[in-house]
Amino acid sequence: MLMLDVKDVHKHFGQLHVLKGISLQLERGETGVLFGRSGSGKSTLLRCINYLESIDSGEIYVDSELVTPDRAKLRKLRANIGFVFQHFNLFPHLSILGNVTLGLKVVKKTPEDEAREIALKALEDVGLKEKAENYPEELSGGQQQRVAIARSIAMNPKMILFDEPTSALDPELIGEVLEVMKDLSQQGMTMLVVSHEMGFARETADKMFFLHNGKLVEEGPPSEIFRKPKTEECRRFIEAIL
Amino acid sequence: MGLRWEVPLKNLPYLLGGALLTLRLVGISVVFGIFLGIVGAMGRTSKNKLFHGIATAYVELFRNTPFLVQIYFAYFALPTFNIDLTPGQSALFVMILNTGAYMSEIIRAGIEAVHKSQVESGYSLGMSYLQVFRYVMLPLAMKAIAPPLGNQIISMTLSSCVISQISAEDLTFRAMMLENRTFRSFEIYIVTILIYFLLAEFLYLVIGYINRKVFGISAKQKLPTMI
Ligand SMILES: Nc1ncnc2c1ncn2[C@@H]1O[C@H](COP(=O)(O)OP(=O)(O)OP(=O)(O)O)[C@@H](O)[C@H]1O
Ligand SMILES: [Mg+2]
Repeated sequence: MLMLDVKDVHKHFGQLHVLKGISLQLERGETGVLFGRSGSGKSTLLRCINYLESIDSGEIYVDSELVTPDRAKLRKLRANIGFVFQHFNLFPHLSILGNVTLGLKVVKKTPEDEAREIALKALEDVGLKEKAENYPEELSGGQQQRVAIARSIAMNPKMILFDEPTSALDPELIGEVLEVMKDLSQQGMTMLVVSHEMGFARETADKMFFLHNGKLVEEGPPSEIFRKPKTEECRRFIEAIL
Repeated sequence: MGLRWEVPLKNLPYLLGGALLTLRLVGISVVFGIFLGIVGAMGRTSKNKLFHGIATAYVELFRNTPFLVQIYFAYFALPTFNIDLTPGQSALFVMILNTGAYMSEIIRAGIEAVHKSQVESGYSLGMSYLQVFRYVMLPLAMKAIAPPLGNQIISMTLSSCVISQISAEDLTFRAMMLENRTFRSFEIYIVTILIYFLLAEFLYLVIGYINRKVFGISAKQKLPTMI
């Protein structure tokens, strides 16, 4: 059962052809790791999936639903897709609990008590239940990113997209975030992760996708990608970051 | 020379009555002004050309013409179109529109300073534009704009004294009346200045309270005050 089906997607920014016919699939429960050089279009692809960016041609299906600009459908789609950003993820004016309950209350119209319960459970999953009453600025970068993940989990999404969730973190904080993501993956969450954390990819990914100049030039399980990359670009890229 | 403080003191209720009018006008124009300011800021940041155009024309018109002339227009020129407003009504009408225009710009600047990915965090949770505006952009903007917004309210309170020019019985008007009767200029204006000062301080307290309660600015964050 396909959770994500991206079909021949093209995207331009003005003259710049950023995505040149991308097709990729994720089965329900799979974790995909998307990697490639800076500017290759990784973030753009992720953002197209929940329509933070429009696409010029092609189709994207999430759980068999076509991603369209129709506002009502889009809101429903987005409520079903978690998105964890690289930076400035949390709402600084809300407590940790407030951050995690906002989507539940505003989008899903979950009653206060129930939203609180769900949020505390999600925070427990990422090991931060005791920080519920704190504010984002009082947390470390790693803890903030875990809260961002809890905020996604609380919405009970079908899939979570991660755009370089650890690249803005101090090295010693990366592990705790990856650990949470690994747990999620093992619990069967469908995830598409832009990351250059190759250890994480090796252990967690079902599939890896190598994006180069807007094209998906290589795709396969980590064992293949690491052992015998088919293309010269991919081989050199992996050598450079390992 | 003997100072006769009993003159302003005996007439304190009369002066305070004027201050009360000032306060009422400010209170009402802040409530409607913030509403107008929010709509104005939405217009100024909107991609819809018509909405953007109307909001821009409104904001520019009121920010780039003298407050006093706007007041004169409402009081002396509108009767030409059979719109007869009392001095108090004219003052209120113009104060609302004027402060709404200034607040539009303050709120717009605040909204534009909100980081894009916080806004996108809102959208990616499935919120609508209005929800993102209400729960993310506005409170985040409010945090950044609380000080200029407070200043704007104080500045409006103080410059509202020009409504005395159309005989609206505010604090300044009553001080002038009292002076005309008693000629105790020094005592009367010292007391008048003191009342304006306390009024401004009082408003700072109210503004701080509202910002905490309505916009969720955490109590840990202190708003700058005038003193
Ligand atoms: N909003 C935009 N307007 C114009 N060009 C953009 C926009 N967003 C991205 N681009 C361009 O599109 C290309 C792909 O950008 P994208 O952010 O998807 O790359 P990336 O693979 O995520 O890179 P990085 O590893 O640096 O995050 C880049 O050349 C970038 O400059
Ligand atoms: Mg990127």
